[in-house]
Amino acid sequence: MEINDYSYWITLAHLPNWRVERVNHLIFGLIDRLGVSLAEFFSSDTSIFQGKFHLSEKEAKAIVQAKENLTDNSILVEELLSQGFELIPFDSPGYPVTLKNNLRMKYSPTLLYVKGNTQLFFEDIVAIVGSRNVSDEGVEFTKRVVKKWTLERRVIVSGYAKGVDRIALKTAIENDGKGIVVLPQGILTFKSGFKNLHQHIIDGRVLVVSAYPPKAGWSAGLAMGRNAYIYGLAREIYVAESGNKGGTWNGAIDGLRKGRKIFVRKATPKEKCANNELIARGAIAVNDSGNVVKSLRDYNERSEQKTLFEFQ
Amino acid sequence: MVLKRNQAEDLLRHYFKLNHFYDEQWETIESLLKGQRILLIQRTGFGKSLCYQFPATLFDGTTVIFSPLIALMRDQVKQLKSLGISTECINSEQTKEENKAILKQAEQNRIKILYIAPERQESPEWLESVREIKLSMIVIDEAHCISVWGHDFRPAFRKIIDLVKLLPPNFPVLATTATATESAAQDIMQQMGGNVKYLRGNLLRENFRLNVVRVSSEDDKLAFLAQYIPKMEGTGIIYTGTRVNTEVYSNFLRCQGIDAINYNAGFNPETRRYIEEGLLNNRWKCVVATNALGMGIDKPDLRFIIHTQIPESPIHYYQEIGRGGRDGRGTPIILLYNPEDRELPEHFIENSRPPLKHYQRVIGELKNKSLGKWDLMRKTNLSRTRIEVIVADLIDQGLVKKFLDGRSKRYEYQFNAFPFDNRVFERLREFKLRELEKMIEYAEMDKCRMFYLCDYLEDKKADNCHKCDNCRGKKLNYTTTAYWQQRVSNFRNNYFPEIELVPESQQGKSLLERKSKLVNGVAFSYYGFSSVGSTIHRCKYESGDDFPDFLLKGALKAYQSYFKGKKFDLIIYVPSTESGDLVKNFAKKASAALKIPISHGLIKIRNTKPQKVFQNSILKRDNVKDAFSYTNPGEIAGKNILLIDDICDSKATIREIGSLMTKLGVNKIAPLVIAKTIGGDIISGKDVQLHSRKAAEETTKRKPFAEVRKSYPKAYEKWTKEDDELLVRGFRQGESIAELANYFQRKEGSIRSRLRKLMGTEIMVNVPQGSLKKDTYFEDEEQIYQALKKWRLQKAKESGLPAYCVLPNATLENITRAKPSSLCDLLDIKGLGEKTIKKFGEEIVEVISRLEK
Ligand SMILES: Nc1ncnc2c1ncn2[C@@H]1O[C@H](COP(=O)(O)OP(=O)(O)O)[C@@H](O)[C@H]1O
Ligand SMILES: [Mg+2]
Ligand SMILES: [Zn+2]
Repeated sequence: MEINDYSYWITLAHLPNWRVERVNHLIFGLIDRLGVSLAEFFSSDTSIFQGKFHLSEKEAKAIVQAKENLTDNSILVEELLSQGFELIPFDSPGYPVTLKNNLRMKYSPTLLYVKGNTQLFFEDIVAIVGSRNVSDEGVEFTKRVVKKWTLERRVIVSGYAKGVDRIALKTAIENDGKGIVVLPQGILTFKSGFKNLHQHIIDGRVLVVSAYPPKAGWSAGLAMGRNAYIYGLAREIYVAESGNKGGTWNGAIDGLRKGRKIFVRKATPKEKCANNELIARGAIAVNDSGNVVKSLRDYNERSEQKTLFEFQ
Repeated sequence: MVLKRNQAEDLLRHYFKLNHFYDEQWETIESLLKGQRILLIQRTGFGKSLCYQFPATLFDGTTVIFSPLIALMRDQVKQLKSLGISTECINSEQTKEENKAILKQAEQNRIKILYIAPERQESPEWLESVREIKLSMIVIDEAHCISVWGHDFRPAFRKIIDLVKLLPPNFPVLATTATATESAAQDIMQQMGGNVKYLRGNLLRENFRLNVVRVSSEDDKLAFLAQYIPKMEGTGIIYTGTRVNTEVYSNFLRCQGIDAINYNAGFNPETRRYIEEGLLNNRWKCVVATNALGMGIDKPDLRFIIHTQIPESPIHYYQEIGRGGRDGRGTPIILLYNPEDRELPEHFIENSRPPLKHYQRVIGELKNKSLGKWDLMRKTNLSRTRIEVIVADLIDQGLVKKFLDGRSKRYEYQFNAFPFDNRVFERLREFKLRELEKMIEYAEMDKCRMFYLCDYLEDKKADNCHKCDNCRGKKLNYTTTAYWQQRVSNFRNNYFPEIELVPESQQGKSLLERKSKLVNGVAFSYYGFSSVGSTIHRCKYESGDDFPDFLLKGALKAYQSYFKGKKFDLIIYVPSTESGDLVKNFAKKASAALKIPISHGLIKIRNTKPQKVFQNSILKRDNVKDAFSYTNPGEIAGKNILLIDDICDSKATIREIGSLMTKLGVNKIAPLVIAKTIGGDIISGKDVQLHSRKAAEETTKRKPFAEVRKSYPKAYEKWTKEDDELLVRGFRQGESIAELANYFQRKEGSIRSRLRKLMGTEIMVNVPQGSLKKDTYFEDEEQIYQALKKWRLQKAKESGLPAYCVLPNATLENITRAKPSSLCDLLDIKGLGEKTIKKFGEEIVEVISRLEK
């Protein structure tokens, strides 16, 4: 991959109102099928866009418009590289395989912006998510399982939100483990975070990832969107605690809909959280140590079927 | 863009008031209009500027020109403005406010041509603006600075190249230089990303009369100059190899009645500009300078160029003589050559890179923690120049990245980085030594010198020049006559360097008005001059014998000549760390000879390390801070004191004692020392060579802040007026609040409020609340968002309206990002009208400030 191409990737990755699937297919078609470089693509005009590259009139127009941004994006790339950020395009060997396998062309981000030890992408990654205002039980659970995984040399992926996310990362680092942080914002707007994580990044323990335009500020929408990336990066997903709405809940429901296996801490009847509702909707119950709860009476019909199916 | 030459020349006449392009100019312009990348090498004065100025006016958007020469920028901006072309420049001599205003204009596409110093690329203002500017072309002036194989490599150019490489292939880029060997040119083109059109003209001027004069000592050189300069026509430049020699040579020439002035990179910008202007107006017969003088001096009629020291390579030499005779009239070019002189350039080359262990020291610190420049200086005990060189190399190799932490720069070690590789430096060293051999060959050969230089520069040239000493069959040797030898000796015996301690701002004031009672003093000699330095060194570190009599005699003579009729009541001396009683005994003898009583009252109250182990001024200052005390303060109040020491290096010790004495109420205190160093550092015995012009160059490309500070003696104590001046100056130079705070060892907040007090509205514009806030990011933006939402819900309940009617989500997000801390801040937030602010403003600010705590 030529670094000269990065500005093309940025330009394509953040085309306004394009679905990521369309962008990925376009690039895949160009590079793998037609053997056309992005530089060549961008030097074309409207007629070639529509002819040779089969773009719709509207799409061709959008690309012509986007060409205006190439110079600006070159400057942005220089800024990113000079500050030690890396860019990982969809077709690069450094792109996390698990993410690609889980999200496919349909949802895999076209371009990732990262800082830190990129090898972590290729290790055994486990996600843990949960609410911001987590109960004591949730905290204990998070600490216990993360510590266990760390001993097993697994890498923890999480957001950098208050509550479960931070506790998980902190526990991992304290126990000599490693973590991936997926940002709800552009990588250039995470300054205070980098300040805190700096030493761990230098040491190769932490990798920070963003799929958003580098200068995008935090927004509620992006925060929702990044949950899919956390799920996508992980081989296994654990929910420490979820309310019956909000980010964790939506993320877990979305994951279940996509057929992911999701482990949820089984809550005691006293707790107010919605963990058991998730289990009722098909998530797998785990006990305080993160082990799957085998006792049949803990399951309702659907999850039982699903689990049985899993065991076959 | 298709434009015929005759059409273009119509425009040329109209806009630039010139009739025709030169063929090479048109060729360049045509290629740029086609969106090509070009390296253009043409001699100074050829007209390279037009090659970009003209197409810049045709493009829609802004052409950015990277140029290291502020003086040149200034001139060109003036000239282009007078032609009605909207042109501006961004540089460190303008205030941040001015630079920002210019960038704003550029963002609005109201500037055609924008000059910028390469160093400015890292300023946050530029980083924020550049993507908003519609760039039409990039120009790299003095492009030889890109290449380490060139004669004047500058790390700041690296960032331009990094950008150029990433630009779309049809984006026009022009690199120009007047000085590049073939290998440097190839390197430049490769760095520009290949696919570069290469245009090269003949560089040498035929009107040069090249001469080499053999001499066998420094005295010969002085005598030669004194004898021959009066016979030279017009005004010229004399180049020396070191800063100290600019001072010595110009003083000598003045003593011989020749109107000379010295110039080097150690001077402040105002002085430098004054001398540059004076040179243009023939105010002096000659300017004695290091090669810091010249770049950007556009004087057509420099009538002679004399080198008193052989340069590092023919390309350096070409660059320096290239400033002479631009009007095409015959111009003598003289190199005074003593075969022993090769030691100086050899010394530069051997020491151009710090030793490996220094790199490792820096890497070690950065692996631990990312640090700013000042912290690195403290932690590694390396000089600022060293740190700069090392860090630039580490960045080049990808081991370290520079990042902005708030507004201050820090260096961050990169995980995954390849190990440090110093083999490139070895190759570079060998290359430079080969280049030096070529220069020596030039000096020693007996064939046509012009032919040799043309060949070296790959100029097309077939014939001998018939003008050089060799072509004319003249071997030029010079040996001093007895008469001149005497004059040189007289000078050497009666010339004493001054020790400047009174800052400029205080010079006009009487002693009574000044806060510090420390005044200027004198040294017997420069440390590197004749055998003075090595003698001191031997006594201190080897024999332990008292300083020999010739040093005492010298110092007494310096005293007589400098202080003349001035009276002193008491001699004190600097108690020594390591030289035992050497200074004490020396002071006793001086006291006896001068008949001034001596006091032993000045003592050290804590151990200090020898100043010379510290490689930078910060550590030197820390080392002596509060280290002295005076046992019997009563005896010195109201007195005039003479302070004796052996070596004056950073002046930190003298200043520390000066401030103590001032506190104790002396009337005046002046230093008398044996030797003064130039450039700060002492390396044992080895002469003038240390104060290399390279070091001089490196430290003052941009007047370093440390230097500015050094010239303010009282700045090391409590906060003073000088500190105020310094603070404002540093701020105007673009130092960040964080960096200033670090430097003054004060909290950012107090620096900021001090600045606000000092600069009033200016600072308000420069450092608006909003942008300052950005430094202090909250732990968690989502936290603010949630808090605002909670607050909104409550409002909604109170008013019975749906939540989005109180404030929509988008506005809450905007508020979250802006983190307002006052009602004023709210005004800038999208979605908040005045009405809403009146209604909810206080509460919103309150919600956020509660979180901040
Ligand atoms: N085509 C031309 N015709 C007449 N004068 C020119 C032409 N091109 C440039 N000049 C003049 O030559 C002088 C030197 O130009 P400049 O661009 O500063 O030289 P360089 O940058 O190559 O050293 C300027 O005064 C400029 O006006
Ligand atoms: Mg020029
Ligand atoms: Zn000749």
